[in-house]
Amino acid sequence: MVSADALRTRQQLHYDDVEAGTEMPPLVIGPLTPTHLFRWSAAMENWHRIHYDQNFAIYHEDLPSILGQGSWKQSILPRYLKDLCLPDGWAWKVKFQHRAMIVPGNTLTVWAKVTGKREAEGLGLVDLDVGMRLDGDIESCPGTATIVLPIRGGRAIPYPFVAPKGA
Amino acid sequence: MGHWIAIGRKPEWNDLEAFAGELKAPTKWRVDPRTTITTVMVLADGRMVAECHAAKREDFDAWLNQKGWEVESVSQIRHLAKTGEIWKVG
Repeated sequence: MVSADALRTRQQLHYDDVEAGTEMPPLVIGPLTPTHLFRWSAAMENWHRIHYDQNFAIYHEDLPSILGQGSWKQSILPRYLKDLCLPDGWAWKVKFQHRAMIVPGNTLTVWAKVTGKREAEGLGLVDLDVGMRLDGDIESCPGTATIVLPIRGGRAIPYPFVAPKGA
Repeated sequence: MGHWIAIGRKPEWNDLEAFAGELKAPTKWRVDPRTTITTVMVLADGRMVAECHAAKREDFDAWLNQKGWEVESVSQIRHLAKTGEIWKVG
């Protein structure tokens, strides 16, 4: 578990530190339990029975078990990118697909790999392939993202973030 | 999707550690995206009961064969009760 203070004071990753092919440190979560799923359902007030009622999921919906929520996955990838950028970078954008169901027992590995980098208006834009691998190397959320990392000696990334024109 | 119950024997699974090693990880019970081993019970008389839901029975048969079960019977489930909840699955 990483504390908020540790994130605020972590060593900054700079634009200069990465290049195409750089693999970012992965985030490993799990094994997930029904409690994890139920906690998210409660927090989101998502009461669909496929997320907490195993009999309903198996015998009514023909699912393998109760399922991890898409909205949970949608929270994890941005959180991972945000943590990569802290304290002074910015997780600008991410898009991904939901391709595989997540069930209790799964351990997830959230990952990112640099595909390219470019400067725009003095900001260091880093393009990434991203995903969330399940046990058995099943990719459940393939996608792409762009983060903004500080350039050494460069200008500060504005907050609130202002996207460079045409980037 | 269909649901089936198999009754048979797999003596090694009387050992709890071996049983867990064969069935705990999701990749062990989610055989493939459309085949799930939902329940396995080890009975005191040495027999075992396994429940599967799958697109077709052959997928369950393949799992039983791969695990080395001595199968006594495999039957499709029509409906069931789970602590008062009634499910029609056949």
